Formats: sequence, structure tokens, C-alpha cells
Amino acid sequence: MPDNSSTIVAEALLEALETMAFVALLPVEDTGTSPPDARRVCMQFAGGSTGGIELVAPFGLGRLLRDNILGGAEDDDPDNGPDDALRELMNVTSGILLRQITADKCDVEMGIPTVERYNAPKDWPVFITQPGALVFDADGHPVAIRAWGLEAIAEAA
Amino acid sequence: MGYNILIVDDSATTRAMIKRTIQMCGIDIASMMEAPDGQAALDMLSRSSVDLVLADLHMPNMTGGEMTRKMRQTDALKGTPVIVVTAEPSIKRLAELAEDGVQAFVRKPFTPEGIRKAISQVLEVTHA
Repeated sequence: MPDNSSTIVAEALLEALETMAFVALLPVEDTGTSPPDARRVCMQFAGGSTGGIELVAPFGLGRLLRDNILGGAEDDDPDNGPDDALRELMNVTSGILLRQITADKCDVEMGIPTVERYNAPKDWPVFITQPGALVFDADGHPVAIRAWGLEAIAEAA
Repeated sequence: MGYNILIVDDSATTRAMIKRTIQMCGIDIASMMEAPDGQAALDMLSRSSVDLVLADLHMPNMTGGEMTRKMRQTDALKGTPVIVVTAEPSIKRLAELAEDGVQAFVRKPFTPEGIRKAISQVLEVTHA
């Protein structure tokens, strides 16, 4: 697994955001600003090696993804649609990341992403200091992402 | 005469994305139906005439692969083409989908051109 695993994770998230919903991903200097009305989205990998990805983002990012994907059409599910969009973002990001680190010879299986409310004021400072955690600005929304187990997955491929 | 297309994905957002992409492709569409998983899709297929199914792979209740296998075991559905639209990272698992009876796959994140090309190729073969 190359040392640029953080770059690979960032690029996977960037590609997913841009291709799905034309949302840009930029670096931030102030990582202390936690997302309001936050969600934690998780994907577990299973199989020969275990690992996963988790993402913390505001509900507002989910709404932005949904609005961009619907192309101006009214959202018929404004309460659940944004969470669903965040789950799909995780799904697509995970696929891109695993393809990249295993050169398409992926041994693990992707799970189904889960989303839950997240107490960002309390837990964000801890999340962003974990090994491998990255913080970005996605069209004005603070987003943090972290992946684990990637080295073992890459070696098994 | 247009095609009746069934879109199967547990994400309503993705179903909307695929629907919108198909509408942009210039394909002659009579109707587009949606189902949230493989079992719901089979229920819909038993009631409605469908010319093409676009399905995710990883879904609760029933996966896209299981759904396709069951379609191939059903006389009325064995000829209905299936395109899998998926984030699945293993090219080996994607190639094995042909054994389930899947005609083509498109990887997520998909582009309008990728969807259009897959649909055109599959429908040309099916209706040749």
C-alpha cells in the first residue's frame, strides 16, 4: 500500500462528489469548525481482510447532493432524501477507493452504507485527530473522512 | 413504440439519477418504473411488461445478482435483459455476472454516455 493512502482517499471522495453532483472538494485550514446537523456515514468491508470508511458531513451537504442530482426538480422526500444521498456518496466513494488500491482485483466485499445522526460538537474534535482522518470543504460544508484497513486489503489483492 | 424500463436500486437518489440520465440519452421511452430491491423488482416484473432492467448489485432483501438468476429461471422473464449499475470494485465479480444472466454492467460513478452506450448495445442485441 503506497504511503499516499490519504491522497487516494481524498481523490476517491473528490471523484465521487464531482461526478455524482458537481460538488467541489477543497482543503481547509480551520479544521475546528464542526458540521451543523451532522451525519456519520459508514461502510464496512468484509472478506479476506476487514476495513472500512467513515464520513462525517452535515445534512446540508446531503441536501446539496440531492438538489444537484435532481436538477432543480422538487425533492419528494426532503426529510430522508439527503441522508440517502450521503449513503450513495459513501457507496460510490468506497467503490472508487477499493478499485484504486487493489487495481480491480478486490478481495473484500462492500457492505451497505449506514447513516446516523452525529453529535459533532462533542465528537468532531476526536474524529479529526484519529489516524488517517482528512478534513475538507465541500462547497462550503465541512466534511471529514477516514479509512482503515486499506494496507491489508491492498496486500491481499 | 417506446421501451418500458425498470430501475432497481435501494437508493432513491440513485434511481432518480439513473432516470434523469436515461431521459437525457435520447432513447425512446414508454415508461420508467422503480423498485427498491430485487424482490420488489420481481414483484413488479410479474405484473408489468418490462423491456429492460437496470439494477444495482448490493441491495437489502435481494441482490441484483439473485434477482437476475431468478428472472432467468422464470419463463416469462428469461429474455428480459439486465444491466447492472454498480460501485462493485472487483472486475472478477463483475465478469461473473454474465453467469447470472446479466447482459452488461456500468460502474458508478456513471456518466450519461456510459449509460446510453450500455442501453443502446443491449437493446440492439435484444431486439435484433
